[in-house]
Amino acid sequence: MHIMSRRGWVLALTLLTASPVVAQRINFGIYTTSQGLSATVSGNLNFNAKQPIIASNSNTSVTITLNDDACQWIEITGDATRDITITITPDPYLTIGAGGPGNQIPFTCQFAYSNLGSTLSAAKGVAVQIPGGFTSITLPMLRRTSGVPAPPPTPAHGGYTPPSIKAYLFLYGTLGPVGNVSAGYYTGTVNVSVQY
Amino acid sequence: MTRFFKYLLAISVVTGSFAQAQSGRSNRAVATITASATVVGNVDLIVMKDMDYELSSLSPADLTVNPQNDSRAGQMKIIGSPNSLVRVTFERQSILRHESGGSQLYFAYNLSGGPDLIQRESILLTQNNQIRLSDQGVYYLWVGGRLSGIENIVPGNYYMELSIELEYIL
Repeated sequence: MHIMSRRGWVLALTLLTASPVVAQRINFGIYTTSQGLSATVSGNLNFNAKQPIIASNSNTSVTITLNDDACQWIEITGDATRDITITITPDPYLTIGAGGPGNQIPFTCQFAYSNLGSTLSAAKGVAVQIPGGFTSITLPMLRRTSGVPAPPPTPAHGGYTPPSIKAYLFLYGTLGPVGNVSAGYYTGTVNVSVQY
Repeated sequence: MTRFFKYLLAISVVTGSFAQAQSGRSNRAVATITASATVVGNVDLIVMKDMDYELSSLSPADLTVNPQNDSRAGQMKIIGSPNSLVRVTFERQSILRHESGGSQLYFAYNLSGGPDLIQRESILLTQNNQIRLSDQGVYYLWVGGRLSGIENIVPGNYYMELSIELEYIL
């Protein structure tokens, strides 16, 4: 009986030891992340920054291009040796209130990526634009510019920290045509998912 | 048996460390960008006061209404998007018709305007002016001008219309 009692204590200790290490880490804020892969948003895609006056019933469209200051970006930080898959899911309309006819404006989102390990200012100049209609791409975190492919990445092991690099995803697009819609503040979202 | 459970404990600790290493690195990140636009409605023009052109004489002073300082000047208010640029277009010449329809006079408009309701601080507008609405999205206009063609004037009431076209400059 004495031996059985000791077995019980050992099992309990094992469970207590293992339980904390599977806990989730959740960060709330604009840093949607964790240590391995993170994505930081620059700001809102504001069409008034391109055209201050967007008039109802003007039947015009407003286009923010990659080269415009209004173009926004997401800074992706991750393992330089790995590939990432980016999926964007934009709302088809910017809406006011509950949306629907008279309360929505068509919205088309486009994106471009830059994965040469450049700084932000240089990254925009070498960004690769994705043709319209695509919503998902897979690319290396750091694109090789010349030479043969590098050897396979070093496997993760104790004490080893893989090299980190930044890649950029630029977001822009077109709003319109602006039909006979209510005046006011229209919003929509572009959800971006990045994974190894 | 005791030795067996010691091994089990050791294995559990190793497994736990491995799980910690895996959970410490996220394989996925999600971000959301908000797209936005503020849409403005039509720019509106409200008549605050009609031009009062009662002639007591045909002196040159009576025939002319200075929009910048004459109390007889008409007054209008433009309402639109704050700080927006608006193009103001109007016909410079107009015809006043007698109420019976027989006689007519000619009127050359002068408009002045400003973001504040202070007539003497308003500036004269040309036929095709760009103005900027105030922080509150308003701009005031004063309407004056000069009558002509009074040689064969018939007493009575005369009417005319002033058309002003407002357009946002995008």
